[in-house]
Amino acid sequence: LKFRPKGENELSRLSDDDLVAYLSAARDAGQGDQVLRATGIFVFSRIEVLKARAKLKIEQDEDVEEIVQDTIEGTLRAAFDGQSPGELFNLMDTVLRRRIADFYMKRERSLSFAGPDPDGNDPLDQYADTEEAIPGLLSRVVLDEQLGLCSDRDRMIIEMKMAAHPSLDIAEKVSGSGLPDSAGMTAANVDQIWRRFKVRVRQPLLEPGSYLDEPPDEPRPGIQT
Amino acid sequence: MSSADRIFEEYAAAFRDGKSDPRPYLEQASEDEREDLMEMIDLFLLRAERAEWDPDAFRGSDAERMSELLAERLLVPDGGWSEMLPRMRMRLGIKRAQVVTALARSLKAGGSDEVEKVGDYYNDMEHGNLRAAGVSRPVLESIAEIYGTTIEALRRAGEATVPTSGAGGPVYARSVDAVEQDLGMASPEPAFSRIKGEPDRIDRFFTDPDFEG
Repeated sequence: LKFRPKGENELSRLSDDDLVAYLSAARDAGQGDQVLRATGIFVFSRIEVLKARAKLKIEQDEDVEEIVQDTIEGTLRAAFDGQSPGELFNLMDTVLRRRIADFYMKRERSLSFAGPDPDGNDPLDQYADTEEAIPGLLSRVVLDEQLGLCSDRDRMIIEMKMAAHPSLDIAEKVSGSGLPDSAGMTAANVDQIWRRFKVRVRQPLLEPGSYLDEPPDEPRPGIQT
Repeated sequence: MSSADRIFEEYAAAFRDGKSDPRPYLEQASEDEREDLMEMIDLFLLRAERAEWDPDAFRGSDAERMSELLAERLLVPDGGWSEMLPRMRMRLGIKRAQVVTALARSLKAGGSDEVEKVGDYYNDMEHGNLRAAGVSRPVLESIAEIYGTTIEALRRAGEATVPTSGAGGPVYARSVDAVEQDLGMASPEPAFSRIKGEPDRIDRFFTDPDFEG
């Protein structure tokens, strides 16, 4: 089985799955330059979104860098091992949310071990506010599930809202779409559908055990139990 | 329109313009609206397309620096030989016996005893139970040829090798261990060795890195 190196342009046009398969084959073939090239294209395609999502929950840039790097490595290694539970993007989303949860658990542990400072202040107190704000990032799997439960009209509204279209524009587009129950749609209707959808996407992640798509072995940071 | 909606739309426009950091936008939101804004931005990012390849933007970027670090690490399989060898064999769709036959032929193993011994040693390699540093160049060359890889890739993986669960235990070359004992840096006495009496040429192929056959 002869490994056939590909050029940069050809690699950049591959699907995620094909790019990862190529990366795995390049690694097995000992083609370090090809591993570097394919890794570069993969990282470039994802890094900004991953960094932006991590920055929603992590304060320090160096922590964000580390989490993103671990996420990409963890995703690729899991994909090499054939552990991908479906689409690579879903796997990466799961790994990212796990890494962020790990980050908070580690910090909590190290601060707990450190104990109060000489003045009697508990170092955990400074994070009391942020702890509450960390039920984690939203889940792509949950998002897709909830979208699948929507009517065509509501799905159109939500997809446009997620792409940050103004509610008034959405109402006009949906009203003229000919979809069932879409005539006379107003911006207020759009906002109401969007608000309800956001609750439905968030709710499953607030239930104990569902935060990381697997039963937790200990309480997760920010989960109110 | 709430101010969170307005800020969300501003962030989406900035993201499309190449400014992906959400923090300045989160700071603009009131405390009451921040969580809602965070979720909207997260939903937006969950739906974001992967970035189009741009070689000029890549050069000198964070992505390039991260790729260099990652590529270096990814070149080493997690479990070393115990992960790499079975995976490559499965990719080729061949049985272990076929690899052993090809390897034995390449090492000019004569007779069923020698072929069987090659099979035992190769099995040890796949289970991470053979000390990688002891394996000779002819063995690595032959395996590299069979799987279409390089000796360097095999060596790199060998260094990261860990035994798979349920395996019988590591196989060591006594001679090398003896040297380490003399230097006072040896690991505990090996539990198992395939070498009975004087090492024969098959033993040496798998336990003496300088053996050329």
